[in-house]
Amino acid sequence: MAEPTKTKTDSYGYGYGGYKGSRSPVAEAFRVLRTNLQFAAVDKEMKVILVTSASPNEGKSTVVQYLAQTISQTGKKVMALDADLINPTLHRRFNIPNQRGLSNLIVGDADSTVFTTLKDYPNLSVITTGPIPPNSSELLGSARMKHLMDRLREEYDVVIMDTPPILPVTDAVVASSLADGVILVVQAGKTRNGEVRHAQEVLEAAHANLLGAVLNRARRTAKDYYYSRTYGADGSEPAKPEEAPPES
Amino acid sequence: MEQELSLRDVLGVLRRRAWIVLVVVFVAVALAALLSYVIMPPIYQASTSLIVNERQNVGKPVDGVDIGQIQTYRSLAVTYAKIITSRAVLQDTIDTLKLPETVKQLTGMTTVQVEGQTEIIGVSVKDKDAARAALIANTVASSFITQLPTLVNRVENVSVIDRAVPVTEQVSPRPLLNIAVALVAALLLGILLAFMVDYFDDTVKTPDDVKKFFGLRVLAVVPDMNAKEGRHGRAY
Repeated sequence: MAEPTKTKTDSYGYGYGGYKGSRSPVAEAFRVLRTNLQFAAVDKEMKVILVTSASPNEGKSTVVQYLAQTISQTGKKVMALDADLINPTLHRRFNIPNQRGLSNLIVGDADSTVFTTLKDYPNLSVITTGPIPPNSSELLGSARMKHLMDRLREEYDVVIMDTPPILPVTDAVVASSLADGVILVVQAGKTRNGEVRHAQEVLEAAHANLLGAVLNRARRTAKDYYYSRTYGADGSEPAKPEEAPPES
Repeated sequence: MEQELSLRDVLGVLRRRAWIVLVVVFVAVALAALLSYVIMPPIYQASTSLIVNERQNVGKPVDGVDIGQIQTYRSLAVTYAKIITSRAVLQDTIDTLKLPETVKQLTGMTTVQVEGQTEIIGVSVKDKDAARAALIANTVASSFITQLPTLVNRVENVSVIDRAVPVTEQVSPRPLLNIAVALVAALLLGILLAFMVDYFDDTVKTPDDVKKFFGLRVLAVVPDMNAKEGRHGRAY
């Protein structure tokens, strides 16, 4: 796969051409996640994966973005669905407009034209939220939403859903019934134990298939043991310039 | 955490919270240095010593050592030491030197003690000015000698052994000692603080926490993308 020469980056300085083929720890972490998800589903097909977190701003959309990109690199058809109808951010991360999207699809005034296929990732499509509805959880729990998901299951190999956080709103729990598996994003040093436990209880009560947690923003101190074991990363070794992702 | 604390945990806490210890130590040492070198004025001490013995002995042939006499001088030395800090002697010193201090202040500046099992009395005066400290010490000694006959009936010979001279080395503050004490105290305080912060920090920190507390599988550990090595480093 040729390295993209584009330098399109999001506000995080990390574009979707950003780490393709990169050996950076972040890129490897998502490859690990991809592999783990693949093996998490031995008895059951793991087609629709819902990404959520206990509280806001723990990195859900980041995980959705990079996970979708990483899976699409294996040649699978991937759909990144922004089901965060309250505070959508996925379109900004992919740098695409958000005039029409999921909310239009659910109420039935849009068709597959709202699917955006990304230039740099031909196997990856995105559905943004569209206009923000006042009744997001009702929309996510509607029959039309279910039909839409059935359709996406047929058309795509993997659907990754970005959702609002669990504790403040119920949307993610409603949407979890549409998913085969749920990933809980936990931000190291920020998410509190009680929040994770609460989110876990809520998801279990909804009979969601909680696959596991992604520990986001793990710091160097946490890495000493794990990070270096898991990734073989030697933090003391300075980054070699030629290994840096081609983003500038 | 309900689990028992292992050495690894302790070291982990210290490592993670090393900045707290460092900040506390730095602040304490800086404060101690500032206090010792800038804020607290240097205090100098000058000492003089007096000896008590019999006037008549001078020039007389020595016919053996009289133990009883020496005992008398020793107990006299203790008495005289008290007299030196009496109001009469100190007021005389103040009058002689026209000092602005009151008797009480001068008492605070003056230390009088009998040197061990001898009949020698040491008089030390502390002051911000080394020369002034020596002057006051010497004047206290001479005031005592001149005032003595009017205060007690028995007149023994009290003579000065060593006159006080200005000492250029300050007795306080002692910057190095202060800094050392601050360093040790801050180190202990900082470590305590680090453990307290860690104890009250109930956030998820390591993949171990996720497994231990929630029994959840850790699907991936994503390093901080804002950290340079996360994005630009090499994983393997």
